[in-house]
Amino acid sequence: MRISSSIPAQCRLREVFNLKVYQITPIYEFKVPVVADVIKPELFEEKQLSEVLNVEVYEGNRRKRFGELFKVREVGEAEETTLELIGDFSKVRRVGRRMSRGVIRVKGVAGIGFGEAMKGGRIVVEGSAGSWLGVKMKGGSIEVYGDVGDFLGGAYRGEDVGMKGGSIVVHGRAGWNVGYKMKNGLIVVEGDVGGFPGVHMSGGTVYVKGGCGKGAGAFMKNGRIVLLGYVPSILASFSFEEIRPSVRVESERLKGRFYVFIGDLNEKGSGRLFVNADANKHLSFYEQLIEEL
Amino acid sequence: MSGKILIKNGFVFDPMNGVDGEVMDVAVENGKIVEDVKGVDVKVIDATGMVVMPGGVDVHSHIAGSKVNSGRALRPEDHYKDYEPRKPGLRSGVGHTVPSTFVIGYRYARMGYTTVVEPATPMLKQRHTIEELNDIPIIDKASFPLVGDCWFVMEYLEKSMFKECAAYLAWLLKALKGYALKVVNPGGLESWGWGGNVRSIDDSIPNFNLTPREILRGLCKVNKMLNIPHPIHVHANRLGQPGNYKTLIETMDCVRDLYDGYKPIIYLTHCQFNSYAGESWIDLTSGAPEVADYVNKHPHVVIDVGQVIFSNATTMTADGPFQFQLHLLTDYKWVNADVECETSAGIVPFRYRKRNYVHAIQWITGLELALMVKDPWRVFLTTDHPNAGPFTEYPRVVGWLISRKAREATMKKVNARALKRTMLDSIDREYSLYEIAIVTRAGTANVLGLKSKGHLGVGADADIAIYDFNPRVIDLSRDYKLVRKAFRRAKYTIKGGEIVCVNGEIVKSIEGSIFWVNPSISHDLEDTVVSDIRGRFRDYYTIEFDSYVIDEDFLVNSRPMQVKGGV
Amino acid sequence: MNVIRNVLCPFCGCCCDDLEVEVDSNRIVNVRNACALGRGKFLSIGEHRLLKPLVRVNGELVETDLDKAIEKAVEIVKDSSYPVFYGFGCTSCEAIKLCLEMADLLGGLADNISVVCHGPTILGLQDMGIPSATLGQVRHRADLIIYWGCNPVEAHPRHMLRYGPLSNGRFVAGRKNRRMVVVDVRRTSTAAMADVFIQVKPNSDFEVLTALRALVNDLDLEVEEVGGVPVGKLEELADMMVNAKFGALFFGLGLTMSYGKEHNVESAIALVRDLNKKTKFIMIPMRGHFNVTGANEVFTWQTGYPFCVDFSMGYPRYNPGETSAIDVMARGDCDLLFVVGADPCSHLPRQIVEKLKNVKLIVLDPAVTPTVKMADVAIPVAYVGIEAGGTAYRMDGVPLRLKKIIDPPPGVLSDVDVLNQILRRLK
Repeated sequence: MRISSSIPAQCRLREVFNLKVYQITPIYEFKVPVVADVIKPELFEEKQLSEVLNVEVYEGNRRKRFGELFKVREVGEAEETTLELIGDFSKVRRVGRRMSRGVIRVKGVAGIGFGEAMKGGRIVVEGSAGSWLGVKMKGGSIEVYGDVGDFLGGAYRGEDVGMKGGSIVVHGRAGWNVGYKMKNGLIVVEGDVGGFPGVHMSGGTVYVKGGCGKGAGAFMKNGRIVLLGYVPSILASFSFEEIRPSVRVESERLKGRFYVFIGDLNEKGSGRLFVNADANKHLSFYEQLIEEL
Repeated sequence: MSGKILIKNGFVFDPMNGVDGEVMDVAVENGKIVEDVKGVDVKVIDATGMVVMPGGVDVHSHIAGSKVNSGRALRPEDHYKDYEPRKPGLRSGVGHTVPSTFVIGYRYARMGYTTVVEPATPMLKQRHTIEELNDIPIIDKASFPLVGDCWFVMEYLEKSMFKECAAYLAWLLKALKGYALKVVNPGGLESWGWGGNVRSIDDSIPNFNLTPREILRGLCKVNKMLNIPHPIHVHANRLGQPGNYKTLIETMDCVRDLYDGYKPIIYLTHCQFNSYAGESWIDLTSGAPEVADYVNKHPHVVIDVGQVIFSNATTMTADGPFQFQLHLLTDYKWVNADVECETSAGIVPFRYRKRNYVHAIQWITGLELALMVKDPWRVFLTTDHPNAGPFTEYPRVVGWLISRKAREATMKKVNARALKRTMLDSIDREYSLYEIAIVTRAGTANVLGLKSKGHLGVGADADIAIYDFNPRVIDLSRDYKLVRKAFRRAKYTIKGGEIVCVNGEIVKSIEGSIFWVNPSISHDLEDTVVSDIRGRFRDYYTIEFDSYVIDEDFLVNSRPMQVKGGV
Repeated sequence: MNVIRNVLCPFCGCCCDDLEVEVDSNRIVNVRNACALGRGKFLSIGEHRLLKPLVRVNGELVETDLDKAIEKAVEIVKDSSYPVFYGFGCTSCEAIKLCLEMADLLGGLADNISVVCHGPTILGLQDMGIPSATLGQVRHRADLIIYWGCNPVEAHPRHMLRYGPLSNGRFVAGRKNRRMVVVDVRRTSTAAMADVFIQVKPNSDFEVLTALRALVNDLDLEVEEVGGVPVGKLEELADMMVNAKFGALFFGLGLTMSYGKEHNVESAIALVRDLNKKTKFIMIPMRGHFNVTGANEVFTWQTGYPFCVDFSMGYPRYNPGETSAIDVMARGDCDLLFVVGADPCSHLPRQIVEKLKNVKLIVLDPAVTPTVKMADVAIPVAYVGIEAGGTAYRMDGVPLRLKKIIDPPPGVLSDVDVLNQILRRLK
């Protein structure tokens, strides 16, 4: 499945190949969390490199300058400002927060909350990523080659809604609560996911190619969840609607027999689960309901 | 605290002492206002061209206790974006509509407020309220226990045993360190114990031979018998329902014959929420003109407004049934917290939007009340924080009161149909600064009976606010934004003679005091009643009698007010 | 000999305050009205006592005096870049406030034991709210009481008598006037006392609650059985709930710590909420320790958040899973664990305890616990509620007063005193 990644309008106005590629590497191994939420491509466009190195980040409870923790080298030019994060960023948090353009490429492990509330641009993680990846995303795209944690494309506790736009593709597995409180956008996970994908959803699409845990679509009011792999059970508050020969996700048409369930009726919801019949023979008893209709 | 301060040359507004913008000096020594101060160690504050007022006294704001804390826990999203970092000598905190304790103290002090009352605390959980009040820095505080649906009270009133009821409540105020008697939706809370509500002040209350009217009259009598400085503080039945202005007026009227001409005998709070005309949400309109008319004609009543702010709010009241209805209407998350033998509580987040017809009517109703009630000593500025809006928006309300232009700027953006169906647009009245001083400090201190607050006379507590605007140079009506800005961040706030805020920044954190009322009554009566209550206590509560009582040393800076009760 | 009345039991979340303790020459000789758990605590405080401060020198714990122990603790705390203050189930609100002050001052993380117990309840209510009440409402009014995923006969022994089906209320009195339902994965001793016992398959509570809620909302179910429970039985339970005059649901770790966690609690909350459209229904979490509720209350009013509070950036931040002590320890993010009123090395998963080997550990405890044995600094403190007073909150949020019944062993201070000394040196 290809993700469309359009070049943001701002870049078109600039002369192409006048934007830079920076390599960012941790100077030493971090033992405590590093919050570096100011690090995003725009920062490098708006400030001189020397200013960026002075930007404040937190290492545990110590205020440090970005340049004390990371080495930054300008390594080339590209169509978009590109930050290459090389090394172990697993303790680094919220890089790419609110970014609106440019590229962040993590050649390693990404920490918690990368791409929080991002509006545009691209994040690519070649390793795995922590929880809350793309939380409250509004636009742009995220791609992860490895696994991700929980609350992928989700929200923080107590908020009304989470992801409102953009797209996330994870080639590996994802944890629990994928798309928690999602309102719009697209999340694709090629591996298995944990429990409660699409929980509290009110729109958008969650597409899981692997299997999932229990509770898919719990509390959902609207939106679509497409499950190609093994689904242990369907919640009793979802009603079997029909069998469809195919389901469309963005530009792709998935062929197969899909059981379609509507719910969560406990929330007067009209969201839909599309469950691949072939991978879920244990759910075939629902087919009898069609005969009864 | 022997600090000597001389505030020179300010425009002083001290309505309790009749001072209306005169240029005067104000002298402070040992935490009190004095005639004059001399010596080399006097801190001189040059208040030339600035407004000097007593520190603000907020008579109704939900700042502490079980339901406030449940509101904080319920709404982490209220805290994520609004926080205060720690500074040397100051604690960090969060919160917009439900701030954490330290932030409450700092933000009130920033606006020049120095005394705030928590108006509804469940008696069984009073210790929790006191613990939170203890943790709110700078400001002085008081709390009103919820007594209206308390089983002991209702049993006494059923049998018209007013003396015994008075003795019980005198003991209660002393035991719980409360300041006044609070009544919420009388009869409705006990009904809510079964999921019900009352629909009028003459409705019946399940299992009790009593009506809301009888509760109100009984407590009004008892309040007078005990000489409690503040009248019974009442949140009327049928709050939030279309057409409820009639119930509000009935509530005000039901104690009219008990008035002795001396001072008001009933306080109706956040009247905006109880002043709706119309029959449904569709034809909802403002009943403020009728309510204001009644208040104008009847000096036994005093009210506060509960003005809506177009922003996020968190509704939290002891009116359990109302809160549940609000949840059903909005589908927002809902907390319910009944308290055995006493009361209930409910919390639902909310947001007031200008374009929404109902919210616009609510906004209009509050302002109509404030502008149509003529006597500023009987109508006070509140937002029923955080129900109609956060207390940090008081300056915005001041702007609307002093300036028709300010009202127009907002009226342009509110639902036009709501404006057409109401009178606000035709009201030209603009409050003077003198009147603002009354409705935010002098009048509120007066109705509370806090003799050392709300004024700058000699002997008053040295709680002073200095605001940086010149009333002789600027036009209040035209330059309301300047006035608003000045009220948001006081130039100086002085609390108990200590300078706590300069240029809107907290420079010193101190501990405030907790005021409570101790009505003394005849020993025999007290002993009889208390031993009766003690004997029956285990049949009512799930805790021991001795656990209910709060020792005075549990309070930080206890300030009891001895009152001679008439029983 | 002295009898002290109105003693608050410092054991479980029932917070029974009617205990009577007989004291003779600073020794507790008898306890009346307590259950076996509470009585056991009072009568066993002499055992395994930590009597002298300990400091780790060259890998070994050696005895030292209080001053030196505090000095060492202060040194370690000042040096830390991400200290975690944890525990607070078994201590007073006063002690908790001091630790929060420390965490705020230093930029550390503060968390309490909710994170391994009713944390999911807190998460659930933050998304859904919660229809609740104080325990007396149940005693006076409830004609239907449900215990779901909890076993009060063993964990809260006096609960049923003081607040539940065996209690006498103003409007409903005694066992025979109430219906009692137990929902659990096995037939517990509480289940043996129920009118109706529903056995659910382990880790299926969410599905069962969802189905029950659907029935209460008059939806048709398309299956015959959910989570091992025949739909017929669920229909009966739904009927009981809807037809009750006043229903109460008590729930415990069976919901919070099985598959679904906070979603299980969300589902229970949504169910009780929906029931309020038809009748009166409330729910109360069965809190384990006598002041874990107090920890939540103090945390909330001082920081805005009930647990998992991270002050490292200078203001309170909250994101359970990220700022929760357990996850912080599991990821090896912290460099200091400061424990008051808890014993994490006994109760946390082994993988986490192993990570603590690389972390500095400061403990305040009355007893020699496994946590003490792993500590870098261990300071003995008094048993709160027996040798030191303070405020505690019952499982339903009712605040109560802990008493000092006897003096602690010589040289042992209250945790409030020790924390004050540490804080003074830090400021």
